[in-house]
Amino acid sequence: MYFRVPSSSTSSSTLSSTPTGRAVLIDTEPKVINKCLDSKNQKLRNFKYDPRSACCVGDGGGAGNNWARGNSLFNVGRVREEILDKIRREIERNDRLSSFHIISSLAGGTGSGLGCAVTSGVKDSFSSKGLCMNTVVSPFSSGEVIVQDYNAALTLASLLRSSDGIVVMDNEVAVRKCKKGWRIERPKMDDVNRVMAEGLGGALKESYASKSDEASRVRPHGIPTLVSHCVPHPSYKLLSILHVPTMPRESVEFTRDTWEGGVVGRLRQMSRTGCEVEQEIKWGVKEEMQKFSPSPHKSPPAPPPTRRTDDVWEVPTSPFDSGFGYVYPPQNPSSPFACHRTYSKYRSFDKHGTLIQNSSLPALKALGRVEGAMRKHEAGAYLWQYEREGVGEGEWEEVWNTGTEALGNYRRL
Amino acid sequence: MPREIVTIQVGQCGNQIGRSFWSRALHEHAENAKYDGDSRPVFSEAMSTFFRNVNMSTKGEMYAGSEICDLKARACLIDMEDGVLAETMRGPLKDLFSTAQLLSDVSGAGNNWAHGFYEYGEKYQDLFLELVRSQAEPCDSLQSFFLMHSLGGGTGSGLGTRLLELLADNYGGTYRFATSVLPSSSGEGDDVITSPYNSVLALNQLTEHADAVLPIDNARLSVLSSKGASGSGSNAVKSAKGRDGFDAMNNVVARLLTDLTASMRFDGDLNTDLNEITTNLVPFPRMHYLCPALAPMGLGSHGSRGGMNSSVMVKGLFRDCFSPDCSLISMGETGVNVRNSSVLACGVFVRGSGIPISDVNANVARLQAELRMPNWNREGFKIGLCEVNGLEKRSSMMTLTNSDMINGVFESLVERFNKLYRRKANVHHYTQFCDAGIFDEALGSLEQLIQDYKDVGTRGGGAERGEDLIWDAAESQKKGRGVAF
Repeated sequence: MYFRVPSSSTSSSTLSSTPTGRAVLIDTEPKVINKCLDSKNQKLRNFKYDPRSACCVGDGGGAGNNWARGNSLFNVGRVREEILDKIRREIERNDRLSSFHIISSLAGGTGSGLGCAVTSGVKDSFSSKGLCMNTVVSPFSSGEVIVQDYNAALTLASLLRSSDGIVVMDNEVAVRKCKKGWRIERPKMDDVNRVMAEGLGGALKESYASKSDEASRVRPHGIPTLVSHCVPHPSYKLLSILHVPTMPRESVEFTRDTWEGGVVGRLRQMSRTGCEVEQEIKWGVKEEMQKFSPSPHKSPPAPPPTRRTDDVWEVPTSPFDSGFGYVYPPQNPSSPFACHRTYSKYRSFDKHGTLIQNSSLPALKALGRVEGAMRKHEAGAYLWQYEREGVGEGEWEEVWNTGTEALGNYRRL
Repeated sequence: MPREIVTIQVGQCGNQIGRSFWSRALHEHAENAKYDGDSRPVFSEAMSTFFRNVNMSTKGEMYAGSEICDLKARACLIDMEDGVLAETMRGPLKDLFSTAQLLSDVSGAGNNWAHGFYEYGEKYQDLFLELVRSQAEPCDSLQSFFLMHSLGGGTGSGLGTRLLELLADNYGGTYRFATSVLPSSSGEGDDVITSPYNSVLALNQLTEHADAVLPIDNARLSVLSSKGASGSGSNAVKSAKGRDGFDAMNNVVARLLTDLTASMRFDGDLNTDLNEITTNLVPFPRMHYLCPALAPMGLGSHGSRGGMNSSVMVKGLFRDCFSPDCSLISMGETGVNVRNSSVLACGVFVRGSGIPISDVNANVARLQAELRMPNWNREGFKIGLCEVNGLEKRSSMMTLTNSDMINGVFESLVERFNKLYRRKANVHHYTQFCDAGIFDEALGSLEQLIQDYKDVGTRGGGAERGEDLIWDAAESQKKGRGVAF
């Protein structure tokens, strides 16, 4: 689904037989791309990138943490053509393209600004080819980028219009997972990235809606089912991911969980209490006013071992029914909860569950950045830099409108 | 794609700092050199930020990945006396510069800003632009200009700021950073009578035409360099005490500039480009004075000890960098204390291998609660992480703080300016070259800037009383202050 695997007859060396990610790498500066493409690093992984699908665009000046600068880069010279060409090449090498997944920062400059432009570009040029899901990574609130609220507000406003579904991940939450789940006392950036990839991987892992589908390998769950189920209404596009368990690599083999009380139970308590890290679950709390938007979540949970008696297909999902303390808004469709499962293990977990939710608490947390940006805007701070790159009062007005509308929507649930 | 920086060093001070800087940059890249199959050093992308690699026979540019042929600094060396430049061209760095990169006169600017700005500015305008073009053209992606100069004299101050204006007009999209050495704020040890005039007149130009200014206090430099802050071991201490204390002083500035650019040249978990610095640290266009601090300062400091737990070490670096001892701006006898100022924004740049982001974040979170910052900038911090150590081979930290602590320096300059100006002392030297109105204009501009910094806490947010808007993290969260929808 996510890789091209070379046919075994043509490849000889180990490197050329490794699968190639169906990915286009885009940046305004070469350092990170070079690191990804470096064959030394490629050997450490079990996949590689296609160097022809990487592009470093712009004049090399970078976006300088300025969304407006990153965004306008797309229209400089031949940048648009170059990027869309690379994407088209990857499209052409797919037999059955299902969707696009654009991963970027929420509030940097290049990822957020250029990422939004690329998203719109993909929508304009290839919307007939598939859905477009975005994953955006929220920066640390202490530091990293001072103008993050501005950039985040611009990103959210832009993606709320153009994207089909927006998964919001958070660096700070990821650090807590590293510390409490993986027991890394002082996590590095690499750990943070890996823990996020674990969550995202769980959400996108091939799984099925029924046992018979899995047996015949038809209709696997992927981005299209995820987006179409979790975003039943265009006013509610913000998704978040919960996953269980989060534990140190070396403990995985020695851990045996139960489904009902363990994986499912913990996911349920996390989503009900607005908790983002497994180790922070508060069991005493009964209800924390967690309200769900239309179609809150679906869990493609539970890639478990096949040989064990506790069959993944037997796990009840009734804990997620509205009778169990869940508040589903009335406007949601009849079955807000959907479950996808698979026998095949996720990584080496005995049992693993992922919950993708379209829920008010995490959505409001992300949208809170719009309010932060409005505070800055009221003080007039930093506006001159955005003005210089073409984001003037009219654009800000639109951002506030889109942002407050989304906030209102989620608050009303 | 490399991002190049063209350095423009003007006047005696600028060129002396330049010398330390180039020597340091060269050593830093030698330490981190990459080699090809035959273990010959290769011209890396990191090097290309500051250096060109020229093929001697064809005079062509060699790009990253090629073997090192002939390294040339991306620099323009400008002075209106020829002594310092001649010394550079006789010294160990002579091969870094070709004579075509020099621009000099013989008579000097006589410590007169107007002489440098108007007379030499006119005379050398075309030659200068030609020289800049020769340096800018071989660049793939020119990111910024670095101006090194002092404000107290005539050439660096006057001609330097004129050149800045020319760069603004001709290379508007390229960022302009100025490293400006200010005369001692107390006036002590300042042998140039007109230095308050020159500084105030130059600051007017810097406020208008620079994207960011790193102000450095001359008095502070000499204090720090005598402590061995330049860090190149015991040699620095000896030289500070010995014949040439300037070397150690210039080395502090050189360290500042190499650390500032380390994150764009070398790998790290959080790369920081120069343009990110202006984006994050300059909320209002004229208020772009970023006060630097460096840690560790001196030799016995904890940063230098090996084998120390990194979280303890990072904590120590933070403590030092936010203490008056490490500031390059002075307040009376000591460095200025950030904790007594209203901070608009702050950049934290850490160098050292294996420093986890979480350690840095924990310290920043603590500072967010401790420092006085406006409520609309509760994030307030920009972090850069570079995994390659500086020449001292130890973890180090640099901070750039945009805050009203610069007002102390500005106010004492205004006071000294007024002392002269009330009696119109020496003004006639300036009016030979320009209209006297420039004095009032420059003074007005600086006074406005001082007022702008004073108003930091009271801007925006819609409240009337200043103290309402200065927040501390805990309090503002309690209040849940926000815009109602």
